Amino acid sequence: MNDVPVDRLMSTDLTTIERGADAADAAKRMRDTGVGSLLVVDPDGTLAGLITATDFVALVRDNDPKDRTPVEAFMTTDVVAVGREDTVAELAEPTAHGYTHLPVTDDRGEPVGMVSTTDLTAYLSRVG
Amino acid sequence: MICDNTQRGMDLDDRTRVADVMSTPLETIGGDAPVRDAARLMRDENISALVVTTGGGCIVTQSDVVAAVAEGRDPEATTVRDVMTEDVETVTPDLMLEEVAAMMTMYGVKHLPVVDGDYVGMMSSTDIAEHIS
Repeated sequence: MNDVPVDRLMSTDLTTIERGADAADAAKRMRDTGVGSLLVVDPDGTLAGLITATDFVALVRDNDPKDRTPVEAFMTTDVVAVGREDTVAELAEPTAHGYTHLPVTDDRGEPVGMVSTTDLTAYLSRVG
Repeated sequence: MICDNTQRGMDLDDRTRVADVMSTPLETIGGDAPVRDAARLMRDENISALVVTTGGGCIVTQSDVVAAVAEGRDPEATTVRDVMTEDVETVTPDLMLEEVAAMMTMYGVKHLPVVDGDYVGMMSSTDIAEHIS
């Protein structure tokens, strides 16, 4: 299954939050939608960063989230994006470096999907 | 679904088992510890779930930390017991990786403690993803 393209297993129901929203709002959105990541977008819709559960763990470790910390203060900005034709084999390197969520972008750089370790697990459970 | 087992890398013929890919050593935390301590341990050890030493199959995960933030809880005053996930499913070290993946998908969870008499490790969806990609 190493040559399976990521668009066969990516999620396309992307959940976004605007820069400037606070940590509690982002956490509520993640909890209520059940997604594992939020895309942080600028007002013009371009991708500014990514928030995963790991970022909330770092926030709670280092800060008090009740202080209305804005999402841009703790989001991940070194986002690794992949193309929809990239294969599962090409996810090995970012996954090994701890990236659990990889946005899938089109040739204009706009997000069209997300592939996560949960998606890979679900795919294995279907083919296994 | 066609699955070519002769592909390099991901090789379903080698029947990978939980013991081959689970995270060890197991990291634990007490139920009375503040959520802040759980976050510190997860961050410092780069792991996403801890077994809570209260018995009864309890773990505290990154998602539990997200829920605590969503509820506006104070990470010093809130204990692990207040936010932990109780009565979780477990797996044994000899279980096949595909079976674990199916369990995670069926139950909608990302973590399954590995039990062999006692707790011996943790299986996460990240462990599975690292193995197959």
